[in-house]
Amino acid sequence: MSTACVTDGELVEHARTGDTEAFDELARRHGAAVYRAALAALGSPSDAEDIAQEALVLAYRRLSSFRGEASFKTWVVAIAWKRALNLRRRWWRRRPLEDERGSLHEPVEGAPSAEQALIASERDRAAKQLIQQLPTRLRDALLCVATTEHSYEELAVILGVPGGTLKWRVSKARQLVKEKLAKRGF
Amino acid sequence: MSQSERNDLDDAIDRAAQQLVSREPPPRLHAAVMADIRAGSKAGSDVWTWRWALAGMSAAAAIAVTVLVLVWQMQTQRPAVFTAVSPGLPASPPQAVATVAPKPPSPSPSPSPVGRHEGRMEIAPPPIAQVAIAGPEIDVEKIQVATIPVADISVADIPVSPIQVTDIENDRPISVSTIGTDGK
Repeated sequence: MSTACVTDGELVEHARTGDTEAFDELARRHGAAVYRAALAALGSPSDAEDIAQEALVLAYRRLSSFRGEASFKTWVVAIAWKRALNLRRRWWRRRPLEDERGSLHEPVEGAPSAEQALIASERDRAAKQLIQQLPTRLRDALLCVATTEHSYEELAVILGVPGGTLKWRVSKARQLVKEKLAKRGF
Repeated sequence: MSQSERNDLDDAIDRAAQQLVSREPPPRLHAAVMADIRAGSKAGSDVWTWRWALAGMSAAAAIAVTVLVLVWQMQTQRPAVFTAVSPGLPASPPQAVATVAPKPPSPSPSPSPVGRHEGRMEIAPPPIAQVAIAGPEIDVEKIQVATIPVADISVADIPVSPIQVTDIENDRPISVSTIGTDGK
């Protein structure tokens, strides 16, 4: 079956009948969004990969429960988000104080990643640090919006909060980071 | 802070946030997902089947335990003690509790037969009201009822007037004429 021009809804219907090719296309279309949502919640690429894989496989097995109230993308990203939060809570139980201090995300300076090489200015690095140190609810909102994968309405569904609350959290997160950047002289 | 500085900070925040989440997923992610779904669909479904089976068994076990506890509670409940006391009579002491066997229901509507016995009148206990008790079974054999005290009732002797009967020998004899001797 050629899946290039097929809608998500049609692919879901095919996948429900056991057509793995249809789900292959769905995973190809939305795998990145699922991965980025997990990355936004966890901050760790390897953990995000694990969670994204789990979420996509779980979505395939639970296709029968997909009622189409939201888009397939929103639905599968919400699955990944919830699983990522569950993993994060398990982390908190093991090391709650570390997370509160913002060490859930590894410091960018110490991480020998390609990401670090792309950071051009000291201000951007400081902004990253400050975002990582935000309270989790504010950080989640800001990073999910930053994925640019979803509208505010979709994100509100994924995060399970009212749209107004989501907007307030994003605004508050930006305000806190800006204030701290200003205190550091930027 | 000038407007341009604010915009610079906003841009820095946007860039930083996007850099934190703008990674592309590794290519092996898609392959791993599809491998899990294709090859693992059977094994995966087995896993889920087992999970559901375990969940079902757990639920069934919980229900069974609940039912057993309820049944046990009902069976170990103390039998109800019914004390029947006639109105106007003193209540019986607590030690005067006797076990009575259940009697078959009498078709006769007179539940209080009265008999004379050594100057005491025994009053049959008033019929115990049938108590509707919710429950599967009631052990009627174990129902205890208190002995009902019976007040002494003195009954005066019934005066009987003498009856005089005339002796038969004093009656006048009946004369019967002989048949065929009247001369006709």
